[in-house]
Amino acid sequence: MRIPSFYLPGRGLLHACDARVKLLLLLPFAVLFFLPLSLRLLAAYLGVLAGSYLLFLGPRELARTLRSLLPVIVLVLLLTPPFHPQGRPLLVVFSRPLVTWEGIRESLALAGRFTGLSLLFLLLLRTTDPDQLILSLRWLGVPFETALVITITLRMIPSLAALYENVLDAHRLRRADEEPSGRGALRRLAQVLPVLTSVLIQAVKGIPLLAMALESRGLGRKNPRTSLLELKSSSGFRRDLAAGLFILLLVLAPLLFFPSWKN
Amino acid sequence: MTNKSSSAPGTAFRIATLAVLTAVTAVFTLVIRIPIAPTRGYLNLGDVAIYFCAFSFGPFTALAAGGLGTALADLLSGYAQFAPISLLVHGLQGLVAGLIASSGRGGRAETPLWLLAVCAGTLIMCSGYLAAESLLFGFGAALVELPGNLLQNLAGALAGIPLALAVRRAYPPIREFRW
Repeated sequence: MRIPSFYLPGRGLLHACDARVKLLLLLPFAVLFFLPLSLRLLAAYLGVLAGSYLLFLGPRELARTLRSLLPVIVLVLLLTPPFHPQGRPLLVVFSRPLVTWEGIRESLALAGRFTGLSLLFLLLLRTTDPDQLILSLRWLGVPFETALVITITLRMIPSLAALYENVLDAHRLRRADEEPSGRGALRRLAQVLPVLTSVLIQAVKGIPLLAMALESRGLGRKNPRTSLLELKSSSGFRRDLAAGLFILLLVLAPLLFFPSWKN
Repeated sequence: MTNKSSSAPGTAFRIATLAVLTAVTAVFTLVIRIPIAPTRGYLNLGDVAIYFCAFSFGPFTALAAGGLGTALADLLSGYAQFAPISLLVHGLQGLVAGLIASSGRGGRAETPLWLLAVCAGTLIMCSGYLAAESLLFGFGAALVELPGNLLQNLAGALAGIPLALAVRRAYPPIREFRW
């Protein structure tokens, strides 16, 4: 079974940008979508994000991402207005306003916020190598042990998924002469329990072996650690940070210098 | 190398335990799905893995493996915006379930405690996601997710408890892996 990876290699500016800068700027850009923005400004920010997606990842990736977000966006657009009955009514049911202009405005704002945050997070992940991402988390202060757990986990996930497939096939072969599996979520859950038991036992048996391998590689020693992989040089980091802050300022400019654009 | 119960587990053993169980949680969330015919949706078994960790390995393993495992699953499946929420909510779910489950002396009193742990975990998970999703995309849409989350936790209880018992019976050394 193929586990999807969140990184898409490429050669754009965003791919080349320092991972630390992207992580540092993620928070202020994310907070932006929680500010009370006008629909015009929100649409403009979404346009910039979509444009960046198109530029650095391509139209197919943008279409795939928007398709995966569509069910939630539709849900938000349909279910938000009934919870905002204030304002000029558009649709009245049994003398109660079901849909109002304010409700539609709120649903568009929430859909925009959700879409913007999704595109922002995915833009970071799709253009950042996982090793660089983990090194950046270490630079930000995440302990080495936590980063090591994440690294080992990312490498173990495909092999555990393959183990599950193998055990599932083995159990199916043992049940080949039995009746076909029943319908109903409960019945399927009961049928998958023996498979899960086997998978868990195999996984847990590997813990002492992995611990031995880590100890034999010097984990837990007190002497200073070296690293095979390194982050960019400090001059590259400073250049990328300056560029990132400039872009953030450009994005914040309508809010800071043209307050009327907020409404 | 074995984890002797008379001494605290070393750093390497703890890291190995966390890495394996985090990967198990991520795989249970990402790969193993039970279709629900009426809605054509899927149940994922992430909560099963979290409760298994809580009952078999203790609260702190469940906190780390549950939070990190589900967050990584969100990142890998293209729902990165939910990763911080999953990290917090499922981590708390695992921690509280583990604390309640390990508060007893074992034996016959264990199963009622585990059921209580699942109830507490369900409350935390459902209310946590309801609050966070309300902030993200509004109360109306967040409310629609609530039945699915309740169903996931029911599956977590129905499968997590028998799994923990079955693995313990089939592989007794697992009792020494708690920390």
